[in-house]
Amino acid sequence: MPSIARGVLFGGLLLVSSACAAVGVTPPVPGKAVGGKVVLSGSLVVVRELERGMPQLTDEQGRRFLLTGAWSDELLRLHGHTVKVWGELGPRKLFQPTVVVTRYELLAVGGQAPQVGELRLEAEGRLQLRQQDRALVLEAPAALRQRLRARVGCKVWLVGELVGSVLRPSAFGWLRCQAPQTIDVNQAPGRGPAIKRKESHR
Amino acid sequence: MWTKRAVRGSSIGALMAALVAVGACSDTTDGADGGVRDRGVRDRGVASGDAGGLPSGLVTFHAAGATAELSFARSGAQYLVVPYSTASAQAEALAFTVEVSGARVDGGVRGTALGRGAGGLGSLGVVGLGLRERDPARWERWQGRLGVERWTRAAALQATRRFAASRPSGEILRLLAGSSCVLSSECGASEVCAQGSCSAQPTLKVGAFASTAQTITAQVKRKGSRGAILVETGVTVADAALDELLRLYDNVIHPRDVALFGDPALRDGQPTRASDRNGDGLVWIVITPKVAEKDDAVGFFVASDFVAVGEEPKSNEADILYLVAPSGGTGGTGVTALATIMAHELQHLLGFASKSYRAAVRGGQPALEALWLDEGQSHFAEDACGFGGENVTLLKQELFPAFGDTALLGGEDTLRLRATALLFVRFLFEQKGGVSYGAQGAISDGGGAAWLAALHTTSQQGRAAIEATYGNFKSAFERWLVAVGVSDRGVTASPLVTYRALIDDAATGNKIGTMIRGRRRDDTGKEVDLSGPLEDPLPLGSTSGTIANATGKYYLLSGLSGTARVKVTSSAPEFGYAVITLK
Repeated sequence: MPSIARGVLFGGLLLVSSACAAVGVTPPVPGKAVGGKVVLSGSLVVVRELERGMPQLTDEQGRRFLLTGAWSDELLRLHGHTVKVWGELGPRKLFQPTVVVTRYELLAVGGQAPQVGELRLEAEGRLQLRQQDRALVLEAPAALRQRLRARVGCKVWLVGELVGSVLRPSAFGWLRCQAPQTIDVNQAPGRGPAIKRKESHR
Repeated sequence: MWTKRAVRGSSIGALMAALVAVGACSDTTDGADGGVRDRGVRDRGVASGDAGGLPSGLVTFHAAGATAELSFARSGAQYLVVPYSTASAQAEALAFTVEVSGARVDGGVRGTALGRGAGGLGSLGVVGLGLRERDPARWERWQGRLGVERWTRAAALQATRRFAASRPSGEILRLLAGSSCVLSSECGASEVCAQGSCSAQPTLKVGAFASTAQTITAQVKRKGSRGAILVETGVTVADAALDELLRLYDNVIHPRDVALFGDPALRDGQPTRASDRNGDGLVWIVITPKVAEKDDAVGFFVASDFVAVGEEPKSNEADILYLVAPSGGTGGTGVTALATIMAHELQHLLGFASKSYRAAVRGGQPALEALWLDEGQSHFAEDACGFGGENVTLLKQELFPAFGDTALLGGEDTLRLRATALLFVRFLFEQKGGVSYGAQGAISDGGGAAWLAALHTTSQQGRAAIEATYGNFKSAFERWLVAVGVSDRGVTASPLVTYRALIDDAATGNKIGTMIRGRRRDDTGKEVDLSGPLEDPLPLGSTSGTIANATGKYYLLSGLSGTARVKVTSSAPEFGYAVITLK
């Protein structure tokens, strides 16, 4: 459950990692900051800079901020998403202000509210999304279930229909994995031998 | 276009019979990218369908949840059903379900409806092998190249963070300091103008990438009208290789990249171009084995060289492409491979110079291009300069086996992302009019180059840059998916939904352009059979699948009789599907 209400509640200045930002992974060490504290909301685009690109947030006023800090690896996987970040102004880069992000929340995926948590495989092969204060049972169609199983153990986001503690996801993406993951990009029922290929998310 | 349609005239009646009766088609509104409104959906008059629009009966677009009725009254009818997403939000998987009902399996026809694997796609296991499995050496080389480019991005950002927008150009500073030269053309045949003085062996800083030295000296070995080749002192490069590298750079690569992407004046009313960081009139091509000290690289552009040395001590304040010494063969460091690198990296140099450096100097809004679009342009540059052979391999072994899993709008730098971005950039470029190549290889703009140049100067990035310089993204994306689905298979010759025929390049002897299906030579000279993205056979009943955002998955539907009702459902955002009539 993201976001605005929680942001108001915490005043936007907390250095404590939010529940959804820290699920399933060791909280990263915040990067060095040099300026004042800020809270920003807007859309992300990964620009061609820094290793593997660099996340850049454009806020509601059209201002651009390059995002740095220890959450960068996750933010790099959120190209095109709407996020809220808490952090401190860093040194300007390319004439744009930078923000050393100390906390972030994923607000919306294509206009839908996401559920963020750690993907678990429970007994009887059931998939579960574990969040800080609850666990959601995932009921996904076969093809999506296959993709999700390849990301068990990862911090992921999902959007879909939530009924009680059952989530029927229609889309997902991963944010962070404990260990390097391999996925089968060619997987499809009946397609034959799976070709495992390591994605370049180093 | 018209010739092929005349050939197909005898089939018009059959095509009309096969026209899709649409249930709740999306009424796509196009933007400034061509203004096509007639999708050939409701208008069954075939002859009028091409008037400013897509060929009648070729394709219909549907919202998720809508039903399309496909006629199999004509024996051998074939369709592509293409679930697609135009969502910007990066996603690994968007779920959908395809339901096919109402029709009967045609016992006399070998088709897809019999079940998976019945469509002549028994070799999927082989097709699905990626580059890593089929050519480990090349895979490793490419991974190294990805790694190096990640580093160059980091170097660029680090070095430019404190760049002063108001700093005078190097040219002005040197004139004020009483320099002896400005242009390298003022110096001797074996000299360049380095920091205001003619020098046959300037000292260059390599600390930004080398681990064994901070500086090197490099001798001016060749000097042309657009580039100079400098070789690290003590390193031997064959004269023939130097001659060929300079010839290719001076006569092919630099003229073409500049003709395609532009190189605007740094300041209004001054002759210095944005790319000419040191104002000497030449791009320096520095050959040093130190390049390989950075992740076994072959070549790169270090954007931090554009930054003032006072703010970036390792900057050379010069426009430089770095290369390893060419080998004698045709492998990864042969002259042709290095030419490919030069074409690729020069695009990055031109883009950074125009979009970031020039904008900063002029007090504008510097913009770093979105990763996917910047790499798409650089791979396009390789091809458009006549060195696109490696891209043939990328398409076949990386992208086509996994097209539906490859987001165009993504933030992870992978070979697949680059390959799909290349296809998209090439398609839009051709839709804008492309360019023509003269008998001597010179480029004349037909509108495509103007669009590319606009991409280099707009302050917008990625999808927004497409919207700002091309037109409605969704419409362009949909048409691109159709083009990938139908090009080179004789379905239509409409230039609105097909890639242009390959161009025989007089300058390089290679082919230029994009082939989706057919036989084309790769960079090693090997003939490669391209068969487009995988097309899974679509059976009767329900099929679940996933795609990434901003891509589509091609399903082949054939072997039925009667009328099939097709419905693709998904609650993922910006989701729809296309039905393309193949036969």
